Amino acid sequence: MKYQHISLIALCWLLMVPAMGIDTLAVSDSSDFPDKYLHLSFGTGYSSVRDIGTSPLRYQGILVRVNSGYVSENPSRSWGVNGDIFYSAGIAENYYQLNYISGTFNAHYLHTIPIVSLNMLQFQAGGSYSSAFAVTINSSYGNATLNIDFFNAFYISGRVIYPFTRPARTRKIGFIHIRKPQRNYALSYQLDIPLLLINNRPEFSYVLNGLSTDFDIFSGHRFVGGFHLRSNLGLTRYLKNGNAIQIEYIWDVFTTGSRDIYLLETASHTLQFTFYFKLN
Amino acid sequence: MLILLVFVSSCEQIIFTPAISSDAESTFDYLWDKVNEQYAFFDVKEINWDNIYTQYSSSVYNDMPDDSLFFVMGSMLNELKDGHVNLSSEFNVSRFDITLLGPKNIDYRFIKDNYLGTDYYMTGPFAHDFIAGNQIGYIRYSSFMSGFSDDNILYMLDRYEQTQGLIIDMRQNGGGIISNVYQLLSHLTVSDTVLYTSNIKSGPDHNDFSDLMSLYSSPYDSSLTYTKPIAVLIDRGSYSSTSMFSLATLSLDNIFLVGDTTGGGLGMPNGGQLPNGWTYRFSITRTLTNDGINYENGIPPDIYAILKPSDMALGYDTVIEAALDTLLGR
Repeated sequence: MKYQHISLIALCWLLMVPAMGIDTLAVSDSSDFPDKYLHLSFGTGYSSVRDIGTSPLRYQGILVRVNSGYVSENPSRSWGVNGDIFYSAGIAENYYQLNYISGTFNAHYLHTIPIVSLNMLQFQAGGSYSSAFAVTINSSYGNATLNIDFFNAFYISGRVIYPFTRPARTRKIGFIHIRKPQRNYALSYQLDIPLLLINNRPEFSYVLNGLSTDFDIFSGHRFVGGFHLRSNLGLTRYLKNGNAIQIEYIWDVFTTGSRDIYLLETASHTLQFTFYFKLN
Repeated sequence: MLILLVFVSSCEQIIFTPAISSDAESTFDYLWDKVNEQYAFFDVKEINWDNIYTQYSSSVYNDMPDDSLFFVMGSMLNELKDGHVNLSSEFNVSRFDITLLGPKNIDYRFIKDNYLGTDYYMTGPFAHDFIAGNQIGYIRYSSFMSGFSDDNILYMLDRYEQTQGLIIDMRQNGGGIISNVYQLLSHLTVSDTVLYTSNIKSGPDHNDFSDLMSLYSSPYDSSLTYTKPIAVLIDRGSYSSTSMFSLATLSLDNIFLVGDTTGGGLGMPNGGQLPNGWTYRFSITRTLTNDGINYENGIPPDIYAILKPSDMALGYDTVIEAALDTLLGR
């Protein structure tokens, strides 16, 4: 049965995602050898989901996400892969609840552009790719309770990094001398602008014909289109042992547009904490 | 950087489409449009949906009480005379009670008193025992919501293997899970059989449907398949999955229907939500016989039988007796 097929895909995602590595870590030193990191992230925030196929209402609520992956960076380039599990529970009209679960595989490659990079400011440009499935669950919709969408997107990516150091200093309070060591930081901002989106959304009927014993979840029509903007603003602190911690604000907005398809609009604002574990 | 951040975040409101008004008139129009574009049975219901709009929209005005709006919209949906159509809110659920289109054609207590006694078997959701001097097996299945195992079925088929026929009583069985229909049918078919065809709405026009697909029943892998005559008892309360089962029996030579016309409900209802939060459902698929006949308004029995008080006074269930007449050649 095709549902078993779907379950297998979902299971693969769940197994694959924790094994992947993460995103954008601002480069910490000038070595030509890349710094390689595994990272693990936890985030929470606000999300909204609107799927016209079942409801004109926008469901708004909280989100939690877990992200894990690998990143390799040196002053000239950065690349990485990561997997992201996202869950949000939204409410509409104070009564109805919609659960939105997605799994995303991301990959990026960014190259430093020396011409435009200033003394303390680095500019990077490149591309990103994401492949995702999203499951929408709302028990108020009867046979349309569950929907599955698939999204693939290629982006043009740009990142600006501002590394800075807070010098060591000593403070005296009474008889106590407090010494604060030098700390290295990097402030970064990345924006992903869509180049090509290939999405798979339900057709006019929205649901499959439940009389059939041979469900084909992929029978929904594939279309190219929509708009997906991703950005994150992060502050990274490099630790003495080579590891790093990061706090970032991630903003993500997506719309399929309404051309020949039921409109889907999602937005999320995430505050995410990341631990980078240096591998070399 | 922060300015850029603020800028892109504000883009959200530009990228997204505006919200749809949740006032009474917009909500009414939204529901009417959804039904107009997606409901599957306008042809057999012989309803002019445009006229329905004219009739009911005049009663809708913004700021009207929710209860009044619900009544108007629920009444509009009930014009479809379809048990799969509902409007749901926090305070009420509109519905069309299909069972009221015909008499309640079963009194289960009467059957227990006069046919089953007190020591009948309960195998899974099935109540069953020998009747008519052990010549016939009687099986009562009251809801397709109740799941069962293949072993449940095999036990009954083994127990009644030597009988002259079976009665499967599905009167007032309001339907349930469609996979139970196929599971039960697999024990009653001896070869791959096309049961019926189905398609789904594929566009906004009333006649926009996908290509028809054929639905099959394949025999369960067992030597125990009941091939003797089977009477399926039905009435107006036999709805949805039970109508599907009844429709499927039209393709099986050894099964015949006894009782009253079923309630119909041969479509799969799809759910959705309105701008004010209320939810609705209505059918977006249709099911046709292999000859292309749409029995959405009910599948007629092969042998029409309605409970008669005069029979019941003598301890007879008119419908069961009609089935026995045929099964036993009386």
